[in-house]
Amino acid sequence: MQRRQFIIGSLGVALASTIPLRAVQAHVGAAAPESLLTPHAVRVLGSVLEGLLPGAPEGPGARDINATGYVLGILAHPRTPDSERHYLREGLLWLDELTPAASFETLTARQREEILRSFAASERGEAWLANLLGYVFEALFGDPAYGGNPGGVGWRWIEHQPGFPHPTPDKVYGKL
Amino acid sequence: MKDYDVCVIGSGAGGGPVAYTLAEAGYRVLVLEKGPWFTEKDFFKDEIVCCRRSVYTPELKDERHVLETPDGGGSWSAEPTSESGWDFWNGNCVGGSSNFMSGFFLRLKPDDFRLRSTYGAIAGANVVDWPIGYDELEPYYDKVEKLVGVSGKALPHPHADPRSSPDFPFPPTLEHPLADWLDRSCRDLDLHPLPTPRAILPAPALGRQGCAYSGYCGSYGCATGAKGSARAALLDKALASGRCELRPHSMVARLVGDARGQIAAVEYFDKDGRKQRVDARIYVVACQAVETARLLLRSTGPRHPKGLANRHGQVGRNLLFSAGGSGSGDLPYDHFTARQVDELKVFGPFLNRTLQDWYVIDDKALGGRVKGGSVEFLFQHPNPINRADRLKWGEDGLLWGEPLKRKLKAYFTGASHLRFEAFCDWLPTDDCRISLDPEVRDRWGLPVARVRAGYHPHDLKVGEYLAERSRAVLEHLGCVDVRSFVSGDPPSNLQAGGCRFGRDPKTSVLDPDCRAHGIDNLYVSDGSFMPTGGSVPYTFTIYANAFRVADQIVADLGGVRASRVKDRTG
Ligand SMILES: Cc1cc2nc3c(=O)[nH]c(=O)nc-3n(C[C@H](O)[C@H](O)[C@H](O)COP(=O)(O)OP(=O)(O)OC[C@H]3O[C@@H](n4cnc5c(N)ncnc54)[C@H](O)[C@@H]3O)c2cc1C
Ligand code: SF4
Repeated sequence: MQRRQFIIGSLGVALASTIPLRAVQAHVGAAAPESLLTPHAVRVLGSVLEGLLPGAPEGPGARDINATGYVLGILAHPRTPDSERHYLREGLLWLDELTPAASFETLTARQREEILRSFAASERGEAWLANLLGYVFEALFGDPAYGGNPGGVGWRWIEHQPGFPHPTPDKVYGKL
Repeated sequence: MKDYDVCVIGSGAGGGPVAYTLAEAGYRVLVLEKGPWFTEKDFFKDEIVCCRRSVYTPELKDERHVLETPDGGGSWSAEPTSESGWDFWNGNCVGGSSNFMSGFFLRLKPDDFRLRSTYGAIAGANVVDWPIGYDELEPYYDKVEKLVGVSGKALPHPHADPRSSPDFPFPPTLEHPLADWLDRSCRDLDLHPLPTPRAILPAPALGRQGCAYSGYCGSYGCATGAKGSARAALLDKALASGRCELRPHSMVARLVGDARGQIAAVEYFDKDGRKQRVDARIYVVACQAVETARLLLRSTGPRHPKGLANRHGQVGRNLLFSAGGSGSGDLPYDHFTARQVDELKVFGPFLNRTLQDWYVIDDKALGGRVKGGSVEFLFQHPNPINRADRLKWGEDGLLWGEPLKRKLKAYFTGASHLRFEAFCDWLPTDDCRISLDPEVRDRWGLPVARVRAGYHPHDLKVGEYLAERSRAVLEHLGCVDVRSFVSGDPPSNLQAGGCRFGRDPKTSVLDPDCRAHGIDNLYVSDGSFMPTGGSVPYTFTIYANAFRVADQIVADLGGVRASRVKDRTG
C-alpha cells in the first residue's frame, strides 16, 4: 500500500514537478483525471525512459524528446483506457519492488541498467518495457503536435522525411 | 410513399457506385454510414491517428469480432479481437476502407470467372464458376477507370486482360527511379514487369486534385482527393446532384421484413443511440463482407427466422480473404555508387511494379496447371513509429539503450527497404465463414460477428511458389537479407465472399444480379458476392460489380428518369 501511494498521486502534484508538460496540457486542458503519478513516480518514470533511450553521443535521448511529458500525456489523455493507465502505473511499482533500498532514480546508470535487465528477464517485465518503448517511439518519431519530437529532432536523426500535410493542433488524436 | 427510392447501407467501395448511379439517374438515395464523416480537410500524415489509435475504426472494447483460428490440434481457438488486438475493422467512416487503400487496381482475368471449369475441383475447396463472365464485367471495369480514375499503362504480357479501351484514361503516376532498376532485373530473368494500375489521379482531373506524392498513401486518408475513394470519387458527386442524402453515425441494426418476406424498413441507431426507422423501395447492403453477412444474419423475422436470404444456411459461408504472402529485402547504401544512392533515397513517387508472369502456373511440383497469382513490388511503409516498434526485438529479446539506437540508426539511414506482396486465390472452404457470436455483443447490444478464418493448404503452396520467385527478383536486383513470409493468417483488409452469387438458391445467397434470392427489393453490392476471389486485390472488382448492380437497380425502378435524360441531352 505504501509503495502504491509512492507511485500514484494526483496530476496536480505531477504538474508541480519540473517535467515539461506540453503533451499533458495539449490534450487534457483543464480537465485533469484525478489520480496520476506522484512526483517521485514521475522521477522513476523519467529514469526508466532515459535508460531505454539514452542521450548523446548517438542521437536524441528521452530528455531531448520530452518522453516523460509524453507518457504523462498518455496517462492523462481522456481516451486512454483505464486499464492502460493502471498497467503503466503497475509497472513502475514492480520496478520499484526490484530496486533494493534506494529508489530507482537515485541509482547509477550501470545499476539502473542491471535492474532493467533483471526486470526484462521476467515475461511481465519485458512486456511492460516493450509497451513503454512504443510510447518512446511515439515521442521520438510522432508529429511534434503531440508534444514529443520537438522541432522534428527524432526525424532528423534518422534522416526521415515526414509527410505533408502535418496535423494541426485542433485535429490531432482525441480532437478529430 | 416511401421515404427514399433506394437506401444504401455502408458508404464504401460497394455502396459508392450505387449511390452515384442512382442519384445520377434521378432517384432519391439515402446512404446510412455507421462511422463519422471526414473530408480532405481532416486527413493529415499523422502516424498516431492513422496507425497507432482507433480513429478511423471503432475502439475494439466497444465493437469487436471473435476470431476463430486453427489451434494446431485439429480444433479451433476463439479469441475476441479486443484481447488479441487483431483488428478486423478497416475504415469505418464515409467512404469506408476505400479512403485508406493503396489503390492497386488490377482486373480479374477471364479464367477467374470459371475457375472450376478451367482448373478443376480441389478436394476440400468449394470452388465454383461465376454465373457471369468477364465480358459482362469488362464494360464496368472500363467505367471505373474513367469515372473513379485509374492510372496506368496497358502493356502486352502473357496474361494481359482483354480491354475495350486500348489504354488507361490516365497515365501512370510518377515513378521512383528504382522502377527502372526493377524493370532491368525482371527482364534479365525473362519476366514482364508492368506499371501497377492505381486508383490515383497523377494530375488534376474529374474535379479532383492530382496526387501530391506525399510518400504516405496506403493506410492514410488522402488530403488532395487524388485517391479514388468512394467518398472523393463518387459520393461527393452524388451529394452534389441534390438527390443523395448521407447520414453518418448511423449504425444499421437490422432490415425489417414484411408479411410477404420483402424488406419494409431499416432500423438504425443514430449518433445519440436513439433507434430510427426509414424506408425505401430498394435496399442495398454494402458493409464489407464480414459486416454484411452479420447484418443479414441478425435481421431475423417471422418470414426469415435464420436471417435474410438464409433459408439454405448459405449466408456467411465461403468467406474469402486474399492468400499469398509477402517478402522483403534491403539495398544497403554501401553497396552502391553515390549516384545510385541518391536515386535510392528519392522519396515520394511510387515504385509501382507488378508481375503477373505466374498468374497461371504449369509445374509438376504443384500437380500440373494451377491458378497462380500477382506480385506487387513496393517500398516498406515509411511509418517510422511502427517500424521502430518492430526493430525493438533482437534475437535475444527486447532491445533498448545504445544497442537499440544503433539498430535504429543503421536501419533507417543505411539502406532502402523493399518488399513484395503476393496475391493468390484464397480458396473458399467450409472452414472460412461468418456466424453470430452467441454471447459477445457490441455497444448497441447487437451480437458481433464470429469469424472462422481457416485456409486451404493449397493456398500456402501457391503462395510459397510466388514468394520463391519474387525473392529471386529481389536478389537479382542486389537486395540482401531477402526473406519471405507465407502463412494462412487472413489479411483482414482484403475481404470478400460470404454471400456468393449464383443461379441456385440452395447453394448461393444472391442471384446473378446480386439480388437476394427470394427478396426482390434487397441487393448486396460489396465484395460479398464473389464465389472465388481471383489473384488480385478486390476493390477494382467491387467497384465494377457495384456499377453493374446499380444499372440493374435503375432498370428495376423503371430506367433513368425522364428529367435526367433531358438534363443529359441538355
Ligand atoms: C490499408 C489498406 C490498404 C488497402 N489497399 C488496397 C489496394 O491497394 N487495392 C485494393 O483493391 N484494395 C485495397 N484495400 C481494400 C479496400 O479498401 C476494400 O476492398 C474496399 O474498401 C471494400 O469495400 P466495401 O464496400 O466492401 O467496404 P468498405 O469500403 O470498408 O465500406 C463499408 C462501409 O460500411 C460501413 N458499415 C459497416 N457496417 C455498417 C452498418 N451496420 N451500418 C452502417 N454502415 C455500416 C462501414 O463503416 C464502412 O464505411 C485496402 C484496405 C486497407 C485498409
Ligand atoms: S496525395 Fe497521392 S500519395 Fe497522398 S494519399 Fe493522395 S493519392 Fe496517396
